[in-house]
Amino acid sequence: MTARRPVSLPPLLLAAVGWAVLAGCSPPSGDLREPQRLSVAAGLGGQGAGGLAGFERALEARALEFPQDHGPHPSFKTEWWYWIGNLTTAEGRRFGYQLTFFRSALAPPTADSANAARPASNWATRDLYMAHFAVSDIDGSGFRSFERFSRGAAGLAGAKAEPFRVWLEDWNAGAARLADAGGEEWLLEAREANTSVALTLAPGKPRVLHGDRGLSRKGDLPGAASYYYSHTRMPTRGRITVDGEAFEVRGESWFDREWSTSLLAADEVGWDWLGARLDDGREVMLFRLRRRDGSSARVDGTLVEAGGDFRPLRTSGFSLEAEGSWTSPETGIVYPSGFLLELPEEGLAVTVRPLLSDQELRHSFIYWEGAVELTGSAAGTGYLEMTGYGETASPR
Amino acid sequence: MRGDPFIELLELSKSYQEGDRTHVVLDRATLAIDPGELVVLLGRSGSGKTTLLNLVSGIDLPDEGGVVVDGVSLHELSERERTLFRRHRIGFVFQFFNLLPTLTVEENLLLPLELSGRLGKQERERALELLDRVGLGARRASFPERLSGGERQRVAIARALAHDPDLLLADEPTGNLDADTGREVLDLIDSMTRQEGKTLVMATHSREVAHVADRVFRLDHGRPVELSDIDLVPPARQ
Amino acid sequence: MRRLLIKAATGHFRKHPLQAAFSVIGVALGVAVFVGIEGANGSALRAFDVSTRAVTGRTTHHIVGESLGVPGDLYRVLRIELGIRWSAPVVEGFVFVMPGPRSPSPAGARRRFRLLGVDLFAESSFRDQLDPRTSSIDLAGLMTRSGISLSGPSARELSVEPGDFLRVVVAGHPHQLEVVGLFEPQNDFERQASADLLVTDIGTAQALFGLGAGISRIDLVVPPDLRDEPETALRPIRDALPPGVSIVRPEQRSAAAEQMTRAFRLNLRALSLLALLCGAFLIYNTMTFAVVQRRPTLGILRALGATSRELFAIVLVEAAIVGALGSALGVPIGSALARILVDRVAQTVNDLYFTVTVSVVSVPLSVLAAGVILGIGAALVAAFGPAAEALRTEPRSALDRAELEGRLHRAVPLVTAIGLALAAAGSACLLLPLTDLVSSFMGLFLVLLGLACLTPATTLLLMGVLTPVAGGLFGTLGRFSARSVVAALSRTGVAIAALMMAVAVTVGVDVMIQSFRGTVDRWLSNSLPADLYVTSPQALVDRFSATPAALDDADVAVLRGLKGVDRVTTVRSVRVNSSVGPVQLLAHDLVEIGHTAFRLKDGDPAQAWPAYERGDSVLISEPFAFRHRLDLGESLSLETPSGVRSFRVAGIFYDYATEEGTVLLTQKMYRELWSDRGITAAALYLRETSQDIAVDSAPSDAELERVKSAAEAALGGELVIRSNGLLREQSLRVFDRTFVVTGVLRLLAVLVAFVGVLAALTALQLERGRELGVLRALGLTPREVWTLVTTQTGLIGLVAGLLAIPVGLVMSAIMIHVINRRSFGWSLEMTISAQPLVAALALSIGAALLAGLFPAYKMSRTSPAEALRGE
Repeated sequence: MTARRPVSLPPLLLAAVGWAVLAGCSPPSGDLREPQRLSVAAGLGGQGAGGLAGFERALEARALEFPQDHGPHPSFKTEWWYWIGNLTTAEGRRFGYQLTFFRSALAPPTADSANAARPASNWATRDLYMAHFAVSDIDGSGFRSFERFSRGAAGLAGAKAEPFRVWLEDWNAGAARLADAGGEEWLLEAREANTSVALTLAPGKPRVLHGDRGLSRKGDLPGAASYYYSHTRMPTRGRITVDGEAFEVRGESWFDREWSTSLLAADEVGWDWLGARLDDGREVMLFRLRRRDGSSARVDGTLVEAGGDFRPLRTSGFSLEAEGSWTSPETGIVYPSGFLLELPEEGLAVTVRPLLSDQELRHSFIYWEGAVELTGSAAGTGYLEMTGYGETASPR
Repeated sequence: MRGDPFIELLELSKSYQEGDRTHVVLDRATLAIDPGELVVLLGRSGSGKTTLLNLVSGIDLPDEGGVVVDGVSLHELSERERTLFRRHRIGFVFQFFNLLPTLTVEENLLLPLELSGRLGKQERERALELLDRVGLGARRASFPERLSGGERQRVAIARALAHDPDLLLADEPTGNLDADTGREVLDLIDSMTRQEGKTLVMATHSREVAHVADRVFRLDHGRPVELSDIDLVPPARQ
Repeated sequence: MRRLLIKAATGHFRKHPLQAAFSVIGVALGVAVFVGIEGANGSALRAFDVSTRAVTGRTTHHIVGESLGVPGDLYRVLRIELGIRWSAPVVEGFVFVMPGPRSPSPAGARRRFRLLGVDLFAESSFRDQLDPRTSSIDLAGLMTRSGISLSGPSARELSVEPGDFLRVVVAGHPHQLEVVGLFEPQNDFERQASADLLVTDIGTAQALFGLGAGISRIDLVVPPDLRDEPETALRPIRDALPPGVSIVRPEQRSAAAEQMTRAFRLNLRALSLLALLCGAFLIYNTMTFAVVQRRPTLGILRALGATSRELFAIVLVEAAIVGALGSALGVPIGSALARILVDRVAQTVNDLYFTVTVSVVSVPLSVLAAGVILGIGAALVAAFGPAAEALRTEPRSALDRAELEGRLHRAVPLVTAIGLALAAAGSACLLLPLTDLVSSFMGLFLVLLGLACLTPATTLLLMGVLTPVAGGLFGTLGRFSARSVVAALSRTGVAIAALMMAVAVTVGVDVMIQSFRGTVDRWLSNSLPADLYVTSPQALVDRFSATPAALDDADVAVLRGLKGVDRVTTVRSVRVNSSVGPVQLLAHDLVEIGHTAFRLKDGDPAQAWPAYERGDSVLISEPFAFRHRLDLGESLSLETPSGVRSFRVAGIFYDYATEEGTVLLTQKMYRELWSDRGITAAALYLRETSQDIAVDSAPSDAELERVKSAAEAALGGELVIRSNGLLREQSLRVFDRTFVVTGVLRLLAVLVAFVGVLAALTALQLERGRELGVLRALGLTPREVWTLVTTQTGLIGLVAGLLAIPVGLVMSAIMIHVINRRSFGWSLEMTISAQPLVAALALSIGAALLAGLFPAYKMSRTSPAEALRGE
């Protein structure tokens, strides 16, 4: 998955932070407040604070190296570590979760040398970290989500490759121990108010490199691309707590990892992204960049075979039709309430239906990200992300 | 007849403004008084007696006309010159005695002398002799508040004569005294001025005092009118 | 009937509006001074409170350390390991901002700002005055380009815009910081809150202040649901705190500011009440006159059937009206005065206590109300005596004036006895081992009132001497003038008392300031033995926040190596926690130069200094000993990074540098215990350059200048290097600034008294009109009347001045030995020189003569015929 993450975080953060910070409307417990509604597309144009000059670009495919590439890439402007998963209790109560860490650089690495003269502080940094944490209690209390910011310094937030760890305060993900089946088990921990997750993720199927050996193109211009890899099926067990009630859960998670400096073209307002695990053991990653008029600017994806082999999705004859709509009572944004997805070359014709209508994250920027189920020519579960619908509805 | 008059009132006019009404007190009053003469001015309250005395002493200035005292035209003098003239030549006796409460009897007596700059040993003795003559030699160290009304007026008479003025002006000197004391005081004024050969102008509303006078005038519509002896016969004596 | 009664009774004031006007002015001035002082004090304190709140925000608790702040990692532990998300790290300190390139102000005019370094991501619930909805903050600039943001008004004052660079001097080092955002205050509170504030990223601030890994403090907002039991919420935090770090409440900061300045403010308030006291005398004076002069009228009214109660009420109502009018006039004048005084007050607060920028002056309603109540209250209290006098009026036409005066003269012994009793009660307040200031001021006021009551008796005595003198000089007229002062004692007594009181205040304040200044001057001479002093401007302003070291050992070595430098001593000045709260610790290195710069008040130098050098004892300053009631041989515990250490107090030294006092410890021991090798200031002793017969071995100015330049060149930065002469001069300038307000108040008190004398004399001459008329009839020239009146007022002034001198000296003795000691704990040596006493006499006679001018003029102009006409 790719284009979905806001590429240029700084303006978003600027607004969000500025607002939260000094306006102080949000108590530390993280209660929802009226967030600054910022045009995602405006941010996607790449005109972030300080611009993109001085940052490294994803220009060509290169051999990704591990564990180094699990760690941060400070010479790129943006990157993220993205966990989503579909879990159930022994009784069959269904849950979805999302734990995402974003890193965004406020200034290019060249700024460091420019500032070399000034005295150092271990609080000084040009990296911002933002994290989103959401739990969908599908058969119970519904959806909740939280947001955090921190500086990437003073031990408050950061990422490192070895041992692999990414954290923002006490939201934490990283290597826990060697897995029985080889590879590392990762531990995910996040807690906010009465909601928490503590999950152990086994490696599962091998790593998937999207696009050209991990170079995933988002546009025709050079550099309009990201480095992008995934772990598409990670056996997961652990505990989810909602409203103070704990549930032992099992299931599967999807890990997305992407870094880049610029992604979207100016006329693209948003995207739809799907990461689905089919019951037949295959996985599908598909994204569609959407223009303001709703037309598709770019469609791309990856198909992972049950055995772990992967290849780019064959998209000729592709169609993605919205099925019904859902209007957010909070933001008034109208989202599709499902899709009919047809990939004739892959022999797929499935209906993608949200397990909960309201899985909208209403924070510094607004998007819909939630657990879905697939029916049709193949069945499965996964996560769907829809962004930029606010822009489509009311062009600016 | 007479030589040059000691006091001459020349067409003296004086009026006061009271609100939007003009109150004429003196209306072209003319009068001549000889040296050593004892003149009494009769008249009801408000008839202008005090005003006339004030004009004679130069305390007040006429609207029109003039006052000549011993050949000096008071109305032509400056305020300071008039004050100095008064200081040297005129003695005052008031209805309310007007002794200065903060000075002793002796000091009250010596004040005019001192003011006229003539406080020598001789003058002091003369002044104290005056005090003896008014019968208060023993009270010289007392403050006025310790004296009776008659005693105070006697001190005031002594004070008026202390600096040996040529002219004595008395404004209702008995007005604030009982009848007997008044008579005593009147006799004292009479005897002392005559002994010293002073000119005396006395304003009063009591006809009783008229018998000591050489001439008596009544202020009538702002002018002094001389009264004959007949007019003056006190009812009591008739 | 009532209407006519009131008309008849109050006709006096309608006939003599000046009399009423003087009273109104007197009250107005008194109220104005009170309101002005309270308003200025309050505004300065509120400014501190508000700017404290601006940087405190909704914080419920601070985690603070000692001078060096708290370890930065404590925040991570709190936030991550303990999961305390209601916490925010802060670096705070003071910096100097140089004017911007376009600023019209002179290049040297630097301004003090509070630099607040915050972590914007932790801030969400802390500080909300600086609403970025009305601002533009460039986060990238703030975090990656050492950007700062400041309030719009401040930016305009400094003539900078976003994108400009501000020259900021931090800890002696200049920095160019980019303005990356402005916040626009939306109301007075925000304006005040942001007047002296620079906001930057915590990383920038930490680097600028050179705090290493430390931060100033961690702010906490205990969540609302835990507020009832904050201790439960705080316990895990407390358990995690390293030694020397503690949790305090933000109110403690404002409370400390309030506590610190309490004595200062109380002293100002007392002075303002003194002005009101003079005003009250004035009312007493006028009302007494009004009653005495209306005695015949009141008598007739009684005869006609008015009850004595009605007359009593009339007088009191009159007084209340005078008080109300005066207050109505005084309140706006006072508010204006507050605006004038606030800069002086703020300057003093800055000089003596802490940094505060007052941008909003507001006099709260409560102060205005207090002013009105005081004004009317003083009028009523002052009128009570006269009203009682009216109550006693017999129903007959007139009471002889002489009889009245006689009665007063007979009452003199009683008044004197009352005065003695008051003075005795006041002395008791002052001599009893009480320590609170309120009782001290009570004592002072009682003694002053008591001495004022002695005025009639002492006036009689003095005039007994002066009458023959005046008689000898001016003859009967002179005697007459002198006598009339005594004879009209009911009038002149009050005028003399009022003038005496005001002049005594000036004498008292003058002598007190002179003594204070003399003491401080001598102390400065003794305690500045070195030739040059090197420190950072930072060290001069910071009292509350961390004081970064200006110098280090390497710098000192450089200084030692300079040509012409003989010896160098250093001091580290830090705030540390102790058994008596945070204290200022001075770690001196005195080995090389000995201890002559400190004079011991208590303790034998032969024992105290060896004990000090051993390091197991401390010396404390006199105000410190006073403030914390510590005595020789007692012990003081200091919290050190290596645990609490107890020190014996080996000596108490004279010190006038700070009101809160200092603790002296050897630098050797300090470095051992605190592991801090920083140096706050260094003192340079130059080599004796005397070529030949050097009687005076002081280095020449040229030599001082040379070494100073060499030191500046060697150390760079913006260190402050001053000669002892300059330092002394600057210290004395600060001292003088401190007393500017006092001077203003003194002037106002004199003004009130002047109006009082004017009123008294006008009234006096008013009723002497007939007497003067008689004199005029007897041949007194207008000029002589003039002489008479001015002689009399001159005598009043002379008597008041003569009486004011002893009373003023008593007052200054009380201020020096009781109030100052109880306020600040300083021993001051009382110095009396002729100058203030002569000045007082001149002032008194001058004021009286000046006040006599108008009545004299009026009297000399009055026609005697008019005067004689009487009723």
